[in-house]
Amino acid sequence: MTEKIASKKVAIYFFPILLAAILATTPSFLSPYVISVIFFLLVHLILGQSYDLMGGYMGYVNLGHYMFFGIGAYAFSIFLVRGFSVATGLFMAIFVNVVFSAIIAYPIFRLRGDYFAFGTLALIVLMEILAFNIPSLTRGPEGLSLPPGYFLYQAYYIALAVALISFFANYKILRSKFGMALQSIREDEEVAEVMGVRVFRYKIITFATSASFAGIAGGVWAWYLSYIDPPTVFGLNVALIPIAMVFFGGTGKLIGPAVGVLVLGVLEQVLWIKLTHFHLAIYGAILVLVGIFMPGGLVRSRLFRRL
Amino acid sequence: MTPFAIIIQIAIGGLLLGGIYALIAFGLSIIYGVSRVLNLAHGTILMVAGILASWLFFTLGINPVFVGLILIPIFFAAGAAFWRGLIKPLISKSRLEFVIGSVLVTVGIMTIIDDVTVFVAGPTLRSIPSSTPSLRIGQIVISSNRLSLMIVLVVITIALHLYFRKTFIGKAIRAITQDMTGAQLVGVDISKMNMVTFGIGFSLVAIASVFYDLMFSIGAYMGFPLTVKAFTIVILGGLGSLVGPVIGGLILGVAESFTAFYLSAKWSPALSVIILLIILVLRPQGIFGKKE
Repeated sequence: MTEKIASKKVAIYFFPILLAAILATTPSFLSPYVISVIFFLLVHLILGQSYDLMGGYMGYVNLGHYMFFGIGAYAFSIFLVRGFSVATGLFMAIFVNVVFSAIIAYPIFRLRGDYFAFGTLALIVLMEILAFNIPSLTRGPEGLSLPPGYFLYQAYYIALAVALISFFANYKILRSKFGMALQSIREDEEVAEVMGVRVFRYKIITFATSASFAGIAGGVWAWYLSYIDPPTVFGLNVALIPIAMVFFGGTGKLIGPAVGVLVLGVLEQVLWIKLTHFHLAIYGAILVLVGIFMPGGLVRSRLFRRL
Repeated sequence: MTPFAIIIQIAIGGLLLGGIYALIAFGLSIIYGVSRVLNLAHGTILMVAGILASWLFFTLGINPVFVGLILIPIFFAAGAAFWRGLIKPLISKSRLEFVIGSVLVTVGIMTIIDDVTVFVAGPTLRSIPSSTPSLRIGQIVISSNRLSLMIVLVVITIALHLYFRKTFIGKAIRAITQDMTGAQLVGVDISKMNMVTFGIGFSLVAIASVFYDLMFSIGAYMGFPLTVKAFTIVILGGLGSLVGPVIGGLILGVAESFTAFYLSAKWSPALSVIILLIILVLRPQGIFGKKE
């Protein structure tokens, strides 16, 4: 019995680190295009895993999760444009998100369940409008251009490191007392409160944590793109993609987001290349089919268990 | 124009806009109340209806009223089919899978519709133009077009109110919204009601789209922001209330019109979210909601 647990633990640590090591060597022999695709997947993995911390473990579906990404991107860019270092930019991407999430937690956690999901979605719309309408800070619709430079590889390594950290963070949290508290909130919030779980405290901490990871993802993404504007980082058409990926892979499971991001991300690239029209429609059709036949996600399906 | 006349003018425009919002939000509210589905594709349905309405208007050359009458049965059937084909398979699954499944399905449908619409109809904005004489009441100028729209809106609202009060289906829908098990115990057929509710919701959206075409214009990708606005109205108006979304929509419409005039048009879309946040802090169950 202990050997089984021990070997599973080893596997959880071994495979991701091995994979990360392999990915760390790839820039030397893979084309920049492939590296940018992997970078895209890594960024979405960070987004997916940070989303699932609140959505999957605590049961609060934050459809507006992408807003932390956007805020992180803007915070990073604003500081970089004013001459601060990349490290400062990334730090601010985290810091601004922590402050923002702490403040917004008070009104937004008055909503529960489905209503929380939509309240957070509304927040992302608000962020986009704010980004459009405060040009002194964000240059409005013309967007922010970062100091010129091609930083794919640096951004790639940071994203790889952060993705690995967030994966292990989720793993540790899942197995800790903190994680049990989160899951108890998911299962029955009132009972959890009665049993002594300081529910609001956990909500705020989880909110801020998931915001921070998403913020770093936004920062490195902005660094790579060298230019951001409101629709790119707050747009509703891209905002649900990371969450759809998590749902696809399986929310609430440790490797769910990873599976979802990998499959759907690669699929999106293939469709984009192979089809001139309708690639989004096919993508949508796949979402519909998964929704009807495998709503628990790939990880929970019988297909997966047979592998 | 005296300031008073200006205010009345803006208020009328706001009520018209609010009426459109109210129709959309009301449809969304009953769909959620009965099926517990987060219909993320709601605004996109409006977009399709609007483009279809505009196309019908130009190809058939008929009065917008008839366009609306043509669209209503089409969209009713579409709504019923939507539930039957896409949502019904999910009701046997667990709560978690139901929510995720419905989100995936509605987001998927939204993506498909957006993509296909852009391909078929192109990126140009569509509308139904109207040139009608203006009336003067004292110092207020109002186009007879707007006036007739307002009258139609009022009629529809009264009709809906009576429908939900007096008819069996209306009462059944209210019953399911309040207590699904209780409704089943008194003999309400949930499957049929779900299809009818989706049908009504979609039809209301189709009607709203005709109004929308007359007052503004419709283009692809406009759907989702409208869906979000509709949901904020539903939360604003109050959970579990049928009057809530209507009043919430009217309030928002008027508020947006005044903001656009006195402040600047670019802030009015943000208004719905700001009002929502304020209401959440002061009265979390919404204006007409009951505490759950």
